[in-house]
Amino acid sequence: MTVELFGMARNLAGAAAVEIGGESMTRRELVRALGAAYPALVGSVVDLEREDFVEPNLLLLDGRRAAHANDAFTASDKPVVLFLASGG
Amino acid sequence: MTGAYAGPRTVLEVDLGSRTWRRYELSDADFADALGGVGLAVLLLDRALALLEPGPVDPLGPESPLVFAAGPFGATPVPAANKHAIAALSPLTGLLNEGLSSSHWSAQLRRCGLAALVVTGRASEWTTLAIERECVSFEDATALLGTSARETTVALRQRANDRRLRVCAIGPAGERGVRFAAVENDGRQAGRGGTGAVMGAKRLKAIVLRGAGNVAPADPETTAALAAELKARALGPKTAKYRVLGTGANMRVLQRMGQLPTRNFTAATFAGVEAVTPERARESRGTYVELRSGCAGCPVQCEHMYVRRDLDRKKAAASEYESVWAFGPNCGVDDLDAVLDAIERCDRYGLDTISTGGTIAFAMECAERGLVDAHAFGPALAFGNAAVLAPAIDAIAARSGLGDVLALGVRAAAARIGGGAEAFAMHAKGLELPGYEPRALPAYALGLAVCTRGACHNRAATYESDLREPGVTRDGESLARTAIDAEDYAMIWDSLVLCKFIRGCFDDFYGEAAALWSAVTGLALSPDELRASAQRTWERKRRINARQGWTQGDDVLPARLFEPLADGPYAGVAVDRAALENARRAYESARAATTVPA
Repeated sequence: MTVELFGMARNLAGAAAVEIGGESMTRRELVRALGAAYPALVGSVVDLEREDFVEPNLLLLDGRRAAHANDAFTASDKPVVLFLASGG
Repeated sequence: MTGAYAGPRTVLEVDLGSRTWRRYELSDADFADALGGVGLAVLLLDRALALLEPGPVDPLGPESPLVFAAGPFGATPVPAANKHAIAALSPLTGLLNEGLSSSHWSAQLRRCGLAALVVTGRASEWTTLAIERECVSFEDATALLGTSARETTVALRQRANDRRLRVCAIGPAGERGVRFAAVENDGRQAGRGGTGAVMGAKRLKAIVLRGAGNVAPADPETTAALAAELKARALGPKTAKYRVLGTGANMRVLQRMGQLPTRNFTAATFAGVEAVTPERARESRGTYVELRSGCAGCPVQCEHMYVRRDLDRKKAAASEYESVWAFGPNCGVDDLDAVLDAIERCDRYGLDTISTGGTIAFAMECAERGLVDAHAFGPALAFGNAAVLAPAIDAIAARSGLGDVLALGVRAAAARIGGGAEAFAMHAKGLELPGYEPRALPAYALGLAVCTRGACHNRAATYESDLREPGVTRDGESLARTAIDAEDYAMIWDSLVLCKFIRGCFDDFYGEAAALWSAVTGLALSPDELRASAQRTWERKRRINARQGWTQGDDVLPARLFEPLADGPYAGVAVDRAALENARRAYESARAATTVPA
């Protein structure tokens, strides 16, 4: 499925969107898949030990719904890895 | 509470009218009560106002106090802590305004042996106030009139033949009383609420500090260890977005989320956003040069400045999200050169970028509705016209023509312009809205409505909870709790004063902050006592506002926010008036229930 990237995720992966295998996956699975496909994200954007995103990065579906750790989503949910906008 | 406060505890009170001053010391109890920074500045402003006749005080009158209070960690090894607060009555809102600035001047305040500086009166001629150790002097500033804060700094250093002189100054906008004029030091601004106009009304062009005192923490070893740990965390992934990208990176995120206020809040997505995102400037290095800077003692160095390769680097403009948003999406402008020029121009005049951009966006809508002359500044005053930004800013700073009306801010300008302009004057209590869409962010909407400062995203930082879990429906009590927690959290940060850009670097903020406070100051405070300090500061803020005539009826949002959004994923969504009122009442009940003794 296509995963849109913003902020540090885009900066480190070098792409605005990446293709990650699997018709359906959970947030934990996406974290593992992103870490495997884009090692540059490990530690800065994804934490493989906690199987979660490193704050302030987070996953929102279509940029407007939170994705909980074990909730499954598909490509049609439009997963987006972005960060908590703040400051300045 | 045990021990004795280890930092500078002296308050210097200066009356510019009589050119007199006095010094006195604050007690341990004062610091335990108010901490420093915003808490201390508000405490001192409250005390100064209590000495005046009852009733509202003219923010620009000679009796109106102007308070500078150092952060209690300034000039110590604690990172991202060289900051100070400024508290005064705002000429925009008529109410309390407290702002923050940072870097060398903040640290120098403590190296001068001062916890705070309180300025009252009005000088008979333009003055520079100079403070060196025990000496206070008043110098003629007439020759500095019309210069920017940076030019003033250079001139004062040359005159003193001292490059290490630290200067806080106003630009031409502050001299002319633009109600959203800023105060600047070391290239950093206390921007919002018009503190620069207050300083200008006192005919105070600059405050010069020259201090060499050593500021020793109460427990140097523990302070050094805690500071080193915090610095290491501040160089990690929690601050990478600020270090590597800068806050301008918010632009693409908020656009994707459909929460980017556009054309004076008539839309929430901006088709031209890619052209003005600072990342675009970074990615096209052939066109722009990126310069990096930051505050003294801060490992994050968040400032990303850009200038066209063919221009003088002195024209480099900070690409902070709010500034780029104010002149970009909010004015419908998709020309990055024009946006960067507008930001640089504001810094040169000493103008708050959020209020300046918000005021111009308001004027563009007024012109499109036929309420003002569409060619008052030459090029058409219309959304999307990049060419009008520069002449509009010039006219506001000069207070000429329509610029003189806009220099009052959108609330007063709308009253002057008439024709129903108040309906699209985007402010809360007179302070122009920052760049987050309240219709999609219910906790933030409440935070903006009740914020004592007006529409400030940094005091009512409730948008974080909304952005983390967008679309979640919450009842009034939950929203009220979120708003109070966010306000208190911000108040502790602003009183300690630590830069909020390292807020992700704490695992247990209240516990770790209390340990840091105790190591630096020698006063033991529990996490609960820190929270109580925030509540006390909030009560003082409310007391000051009540004195100025504030009532709960003023805690409202602009009419436009009760109309549904027209575009994006939140099309059809509006602030629910009844739900907001319910949440506001819950907020009042919860605040009243947690009142703490001073």
